Amino acid sequence: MMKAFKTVWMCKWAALLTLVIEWLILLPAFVLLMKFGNQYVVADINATPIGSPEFLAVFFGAMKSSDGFSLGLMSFALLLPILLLTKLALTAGLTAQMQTGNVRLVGWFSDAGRLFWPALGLFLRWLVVPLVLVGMMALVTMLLPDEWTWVKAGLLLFGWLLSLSWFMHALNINVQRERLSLWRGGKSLFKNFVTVLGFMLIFALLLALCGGMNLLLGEHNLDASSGMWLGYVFSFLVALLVRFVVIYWQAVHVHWWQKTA
Amino acid sequence: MLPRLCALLSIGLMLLQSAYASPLRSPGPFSERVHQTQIDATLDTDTHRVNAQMTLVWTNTSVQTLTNMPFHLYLNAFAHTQTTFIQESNGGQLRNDAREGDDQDNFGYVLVTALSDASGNDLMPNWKMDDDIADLTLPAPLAPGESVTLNFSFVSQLPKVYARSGHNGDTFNFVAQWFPKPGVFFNGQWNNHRYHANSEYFADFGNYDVRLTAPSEFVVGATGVLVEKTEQDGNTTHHYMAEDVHDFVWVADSKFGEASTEYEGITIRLLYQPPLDEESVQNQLDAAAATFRWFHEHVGYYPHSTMTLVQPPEDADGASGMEYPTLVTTITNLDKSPFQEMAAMVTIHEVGHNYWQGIMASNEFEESWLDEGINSYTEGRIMAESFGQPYAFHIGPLNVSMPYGHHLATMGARVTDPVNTPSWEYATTGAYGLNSYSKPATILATAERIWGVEKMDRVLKGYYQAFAFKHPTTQDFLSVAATVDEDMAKFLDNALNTLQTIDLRAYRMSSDKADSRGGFDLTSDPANPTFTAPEETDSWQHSVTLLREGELMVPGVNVNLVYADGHVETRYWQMTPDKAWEKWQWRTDSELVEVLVDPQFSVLLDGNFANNNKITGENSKQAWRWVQSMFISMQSAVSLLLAW
Ligand SMILES: [Zn+2]
Repeated sequence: MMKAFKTVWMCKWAALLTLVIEWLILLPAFVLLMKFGNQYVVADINATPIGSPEFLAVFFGAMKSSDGFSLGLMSFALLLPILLLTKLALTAGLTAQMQTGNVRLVGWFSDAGRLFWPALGLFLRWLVVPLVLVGMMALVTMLLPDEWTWVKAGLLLFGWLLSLSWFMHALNINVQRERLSLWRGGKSLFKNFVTVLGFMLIFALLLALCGGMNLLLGEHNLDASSGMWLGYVFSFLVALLVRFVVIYWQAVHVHWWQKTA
Repeated sequence: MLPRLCALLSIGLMLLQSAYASPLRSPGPFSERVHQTQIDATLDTDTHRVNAQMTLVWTNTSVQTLTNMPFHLYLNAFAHTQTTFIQESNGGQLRNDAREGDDQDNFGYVLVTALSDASGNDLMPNWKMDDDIADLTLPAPLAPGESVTLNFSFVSQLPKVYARSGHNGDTFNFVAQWFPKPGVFFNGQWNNHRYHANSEYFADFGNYDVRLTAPSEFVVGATGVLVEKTEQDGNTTHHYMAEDVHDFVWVADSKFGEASTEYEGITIRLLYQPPLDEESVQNQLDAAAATFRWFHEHVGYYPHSTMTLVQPPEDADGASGMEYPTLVTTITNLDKSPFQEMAAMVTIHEVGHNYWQGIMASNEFEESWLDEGINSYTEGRIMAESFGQPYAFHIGPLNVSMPYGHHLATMGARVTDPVNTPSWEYATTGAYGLNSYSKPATILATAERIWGVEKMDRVLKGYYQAFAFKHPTTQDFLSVAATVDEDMAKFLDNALNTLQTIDLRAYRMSSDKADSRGGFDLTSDPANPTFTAPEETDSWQHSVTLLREGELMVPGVNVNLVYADGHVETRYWQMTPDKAWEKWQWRTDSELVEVLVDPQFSVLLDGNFANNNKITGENSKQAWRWVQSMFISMQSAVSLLLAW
């Protein structure tokens, strides 16, 4: 795992740059949403906090009466596919760079461009995996008693994480331009199953940590007494943390690939 | 002697009561009882057809002599593709259900096969049928106070259900609007509209004495109370009696499960589709009991001794969510949900209709808001005040309470018709829905918040006391409101009968450092007046302009003025009809940072809450917080979800 940390550190500029690229892509949506904000501050947040019976009414009311708000949400929906495709290319490029043991920004971008179509092909084929795995888990949850909500959620999350790991295993083979990457990725996933399970536990905890920090951040940002700029700084830091966790996940998969290759 | 006689009598009465269940909780009559209707009906569960004999004794309670008598033949609305109902409903579509196709079993009818008077004279030549209505020329003029006896033989073929009445092609038979039903002689003329797509019904009160025969394995539910059950050759005859009701419906299904409870002498019976867990069953019974509890406290007495809740199967959605006297249908899915209360809410709504329709019996054809609107309003209060679950929908901290749900449906909706419009005259089906349900509910909720819940309760109670069992109109409702509060009645009148709207806004606001008085001192030496330059002081000069758009008036609302030092001042904005705006100018030691009009959201009818405030200075960035939080959580959600 220490080796993975080293790799993550090697990717620090890539992490920062990915974040910048993501935010640039989403900038139009952000600007539109902010326009909504300045023109129509829906009633005071203090008067209608989340959870008050007025909150959703005022929220939907703002959507109905403010074009900026609905345009912002709509443009987010439109930009989302572009964001996903860009992230996919950057991830494929970064995986290829990690495999060389030396992450260079120029190499990363050119790999991202070169590997975009193969990675997209893999992604589309991979969609079957969560369909089957999460579907199977969903079937299992149907057999469980109603009160086991946490167990059910855990099972579904497990199916999803397993699918994500499968994708990462396959991506490592895919960026080498070797055939049958999805199939062979699955094989190496199940060969390393116990190790993967152990790591998934750590990763799930990190995800929960990031999710929790996002919630805290959201709460902080909505609190009228909190500082605005502090909000921006923390937002940036949390987003960066999320990025490092994600790169850690990628790095671990690269190391597994290196061991088996 | 006397006490002993009394004791004997009361024992006798008790025996009588136990032998004969009474349809009423306390002795009637509660209504005029315009008719006595006796029906003997047999359901063929294979063909979903009812064969019946009916004796109708109808009394002329008007002051005019009548020569004819119109009837509704509601089931004929489903007879062919050219009926008013099918034409208006886009080929047979109602609510979420639609006619399934052109096969024979999607059509239905009710046909009178024989008709005679008390002496057995054939009246068929006097019977003129025109699709879903018919007209009978009476054998002799009927003077005021006189009664006429009519003997009908009729056949009712149920359609596959998509609009309230019908069967599901299997064991479920919902037999509603199934017999020839006289119109109402109302305000000096016959009121007997066709069955319209956007409309419910109107009928006179009377007593029903009905024998229903179905195969013994079928569970039967009906209006009124079951007084006797007899079995013969695998068929069971269920004898039902109902008093002071304006309709009679029944249901038969061999798959029903049964549960029941008592509430203050009212037997609440649930006919459900098994399997249904205990908690969901209890939820339904609780919802009905909560409704009665609320109505007894806030409105008035429910005179009947029964309430039957019927859960239609999933393939009979068209029968769901419908009210009839002492029998209502729930939604098809009764599973108690952890995050939404639809199953209870619909039941509360339909049971509530036993007041706003069952007991008041206003004209649903012409003034649908009197049932659906008042009922949508009280349903929200029952959810919050009596059922203990104010939200229709709630996930974590996100929730929608009933008044805000109706507000959302109303705000920004195009105003095409006054609320009080005959149901077939609305611009669109959407306008019928808006003006029958959410908008009148929002109008009443606004009146409640402006004039107080105590006054609103007095209106509801007064309306019940004055007009129960009397077919009240909108005017009657407003006349009761006027006895409680003239202003409120005027508001209700305008909101219900005109196209007037209201949108309150925080229109302009400024708050600047105030200067001291400066310039020439005109009282000083005229040859050379002294001059002092104005200087900035520590106090702030504020200016706020509020705007009322739309013609609808409320007496006024509160306005919150928030200062930079955190102090919140509440001022009352008194409105006048001839001025749409109000301007305030004043000085304080602290900067004014926010104006919020109507912070309690009392004017739920406000077309847009989003323009109710203005924020300046540091606080104007408040909105950015929403955006920032939303934006960042969406962006990290994508990263976390895919791990790339
Ligand atoms: Zn209704």
